[in-house]
Amino acid sequence: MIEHEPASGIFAGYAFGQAYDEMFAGAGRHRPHYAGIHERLCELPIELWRERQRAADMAFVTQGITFTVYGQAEGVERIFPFDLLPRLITAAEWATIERGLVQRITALNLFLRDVYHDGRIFQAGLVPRTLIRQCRHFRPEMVGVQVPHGCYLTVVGTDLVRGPDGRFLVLEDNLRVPSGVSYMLANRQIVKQVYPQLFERYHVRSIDQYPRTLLAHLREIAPEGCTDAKVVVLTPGVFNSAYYEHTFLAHEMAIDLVEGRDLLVHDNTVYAHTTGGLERVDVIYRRVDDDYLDPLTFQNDSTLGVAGLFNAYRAGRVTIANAVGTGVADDKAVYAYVPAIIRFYLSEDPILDNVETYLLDDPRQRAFVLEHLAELVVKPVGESGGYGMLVGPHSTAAQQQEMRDRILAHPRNYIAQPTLALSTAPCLVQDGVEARHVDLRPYVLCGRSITVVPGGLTRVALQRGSLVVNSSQGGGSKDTWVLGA
Amino acid sequence: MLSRVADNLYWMRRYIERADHIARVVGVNVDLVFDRAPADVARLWGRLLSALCAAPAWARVDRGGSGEALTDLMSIDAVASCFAAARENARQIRQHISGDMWEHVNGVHLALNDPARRAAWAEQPHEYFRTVREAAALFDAALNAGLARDEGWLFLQLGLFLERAGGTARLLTCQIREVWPAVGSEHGLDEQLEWICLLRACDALDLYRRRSGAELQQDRILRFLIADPLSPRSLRYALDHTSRALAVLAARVPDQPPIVLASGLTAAIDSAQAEGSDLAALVSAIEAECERIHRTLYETYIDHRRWAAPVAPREAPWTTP
Amino acid sequence: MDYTVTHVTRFQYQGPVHESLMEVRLGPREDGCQTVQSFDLSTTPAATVFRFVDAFGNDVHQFDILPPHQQLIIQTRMQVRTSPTRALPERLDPSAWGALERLHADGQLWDYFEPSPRVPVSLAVAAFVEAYGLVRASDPLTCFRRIVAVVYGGLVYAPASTTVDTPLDSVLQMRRGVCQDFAHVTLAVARAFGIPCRYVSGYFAPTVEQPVAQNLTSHAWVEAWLPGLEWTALDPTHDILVSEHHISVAVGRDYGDAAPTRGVFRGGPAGPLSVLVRIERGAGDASTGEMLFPPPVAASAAPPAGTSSGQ
Repeated sequence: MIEHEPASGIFAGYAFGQAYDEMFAGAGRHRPHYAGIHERLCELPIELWRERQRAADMAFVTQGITFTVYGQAEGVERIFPFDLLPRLITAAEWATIERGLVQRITALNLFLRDVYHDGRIFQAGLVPRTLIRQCRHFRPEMVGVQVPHGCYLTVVGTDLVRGPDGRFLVLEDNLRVPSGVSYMLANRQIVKQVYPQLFERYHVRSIDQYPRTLLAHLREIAPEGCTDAKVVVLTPGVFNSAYYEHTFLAHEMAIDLVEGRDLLVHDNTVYAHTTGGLERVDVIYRRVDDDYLDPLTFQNDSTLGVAGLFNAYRAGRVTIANAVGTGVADDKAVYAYVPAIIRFYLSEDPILDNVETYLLDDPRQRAFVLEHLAELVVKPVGESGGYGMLVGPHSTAAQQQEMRDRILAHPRNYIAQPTLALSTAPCLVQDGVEARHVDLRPYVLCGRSITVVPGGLTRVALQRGSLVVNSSQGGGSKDTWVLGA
Repeated sequence: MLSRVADNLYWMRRYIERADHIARVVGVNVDLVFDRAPADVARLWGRLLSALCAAPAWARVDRGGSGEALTDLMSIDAVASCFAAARENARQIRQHISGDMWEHVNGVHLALNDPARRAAWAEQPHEYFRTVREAAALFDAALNAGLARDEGWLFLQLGLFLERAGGTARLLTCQIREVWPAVGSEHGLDEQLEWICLLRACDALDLYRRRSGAELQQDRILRFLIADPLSPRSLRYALDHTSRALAVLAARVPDQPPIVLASGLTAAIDSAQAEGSDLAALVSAIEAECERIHRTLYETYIDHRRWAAPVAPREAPWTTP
Repeated sequence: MDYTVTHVTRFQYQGPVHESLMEVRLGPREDGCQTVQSFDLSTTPAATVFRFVDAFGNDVHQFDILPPHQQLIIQTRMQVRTSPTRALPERLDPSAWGALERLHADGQLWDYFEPSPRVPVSLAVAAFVEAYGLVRASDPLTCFRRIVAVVYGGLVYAPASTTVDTPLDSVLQMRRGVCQDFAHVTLAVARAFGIPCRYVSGYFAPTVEQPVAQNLTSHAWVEAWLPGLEWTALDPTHDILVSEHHISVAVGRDYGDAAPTRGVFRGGPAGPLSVLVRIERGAGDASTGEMLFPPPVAASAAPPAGTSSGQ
């Protein structure tokens, strides 16, 4: 550890607590790999940093990198707040993360195939079949359906957190339509644009190959016999909160961005309406939920989908990525079984551990949780975006009572976890640099093989002390640097 | 490219051109009716309404109003709905247009719906005409500077020229019908003024003067507006560019049958004699040809697999107040 | 017994319809109780027909018609041999209840234990059970039989008193319905007692003097899964054992999964729906002769735009 003066100057407001800090091992003692950042923070006046931060904010605005926040009167377009200071991960730390993610996603793919075919893991008594059948995202239509190369998961965003002991843990898997990758790419681009000197002395692994890699994997899972697959991105349209990301990815991959109304199914084949006539579509990277994909098979009032799409999919005439029905594995109750899932299919111990999780369907665990609501985090199993959860230590008695009622009404719908002290990282604030809680969402791409993009979205809880990092609830993000060896 | 994207690009351009046309034409007419006798005023506004295909909508409205009522009631709403439609088209294909283009459409759309600004414009209509015309010009500049000359570009060109040709053709038809032939060769100052205003309405007064001299002769003016191959405001020019765009489109999209301009039309334009009835028929033929190309464009590239009744008619956006 | 069933469905539309996609569940089933000699399906306008097996094991035929049309006719013709009625034991061992509970706890036959869209959990069902003094009998077979008898006695069969969309609670309130409703009520009560059971759609050819019966409709009944017996079929509309006169065609959690046709289209809106079912003993007449449709059924009240529901 490099000795330095005790916390002063711009670090005067930096709070050290129970959480692991990404930059500091203790007051005044920064970690070796942060030396370069630390030096720049010390040598440049805070006004200059603020200026660069403003330039970065303006870059987001002028480039129109937005998302839409719901829960308000009209969908408001917001810029996802960005903090200029990158979050660093050493090569050694990343190696573990990468191996852990490859292992986890491999096991989840095998699990999905098993769930929709033989059900060996149920017969082995390791995962209750009832748990899976109760899951809202289980699709009976997928039973027996062959998926190209057994690849149910093409794009995965697994959320990681670092605990007080410095180890990375898996917080949750996002296996349906994970988003945020456009921010990951935009963050890097904007830091390069606004403060390129920051990269001096660092070998930061690149991430801009993400769109190319995704396209390659999508092509790999094209239907059998298909040469020169036509790949499209299916978006719900301009009113979707992640619309910008859909347009961004389609543009970067140089493929068409389509809506349901641009496609039709004829004789079990999917076509796009183009100026040149009907053009066959082979692979659909869909950002539309299962429910809305096909009014013939799923919700029949959906205008976002394509009638007959699922039948074409079942017949192997088109590939849908991610596969239909993957939500059964990102249910938060199923999450608790993932370590057992890894062991069952791979005969290996998990490289990345889960956060301790209580299943509220189990009477004993439920009793414990209800008694300790004020200390725990309770989450609904099927939601994303941080909605509907209770953060015990930050909640009122009334909120706890409401959650208690909801748990008792539908225990299967909730899980609980200890309040984690997420690791903290330095963020630029008004007068200097302060610690804020962060997590990490790396993106894993699968086709015939698995690629983990070196980096990811580091999400920040922008308010001092807050643990909620989700964009829809006031979080922000940072550029994530995975350092070369 | 996706049919829907082509569709949106095409209509976005048509609506902006239409808005520009309405603002310009109404603005010119406001000047034209200044200090004229009431009977004249009524006749001139009547002619304008025909040219803008707005007569049916106006018939539904109380006629007690004066010219000012027409201006603010009719044109602001009409222009506003053009911009609203253009903005909606643009929004749907946001990723295919530049940021500047979006800004110009969106900015004017918001202004046109701002009650404070509308009130100010009711007092000073020329301010409003200027705002709209500027926005359209900036939009055009951004389009030309910011977009690659790809397939989408061709639909933008077609939208522009088909709309422009249609607008000019209708102005000409109404003018020829009413003002031509005048009795005798001596034309009163008022009639002269009407011809000047026609040129201004087509945004071609300066062009005409530079090409044909200062003398305002009806036959020269008509031939200029119909047949001059070098002036960007003539029907001939619009048809030439339409034809060229169609040819490039056919080459880019070989799976579809090419669309060609009716044979002989260009020759007919070039050899048109300055005689009123022939000219009226010719202009009608040009207008009909533009309609045909529009329909065929749709059938060939956009609607070719859909058999539903057309989406809500995209004709003149006259809303009954 | 050998039967030939001809089933013609005619959709008429008030406006031209295009991009119509349809799934047909009218293929006869090969289960223990019947074998299929032949099955044909044709459409007018013509279309390429594809086959797949759905989540409930039904043979589904699917096709699409893109160009505009104002009516669609689907004709199926099947030759099937039904087995003689299977005799059932008088009762089962009471331990059969435990076997069912274990199956449920293990997540087996999940679809058939749990409530389904048209057979939801309902207070009206509980009231019905109480009103008729139904209790869990000593064994599931006896219980199932008793439920069927009570439903038969408690509901009045009244043609055209309900539509495909009439909710379960309305049926229980009116205490009238058609075979679909008799089946749904039976399913609701049986599931409430922990018996896994499913909806069966098909045809009922009553013993007739003449070899041909026309102007029939689809019929519906119920199958319960019982230990040792597996799928056991009873017909609550007639309070009889399902016999060689029943021809089964599709199964599911309720009508929704087994609907004879399911489709979406653009344009329309939907107009009258006409159905003709003809059942003949034996190999049947190759020509269908004059197909006179019975009076059409009006389109269901306010169907979702661009959706057609089956008869």
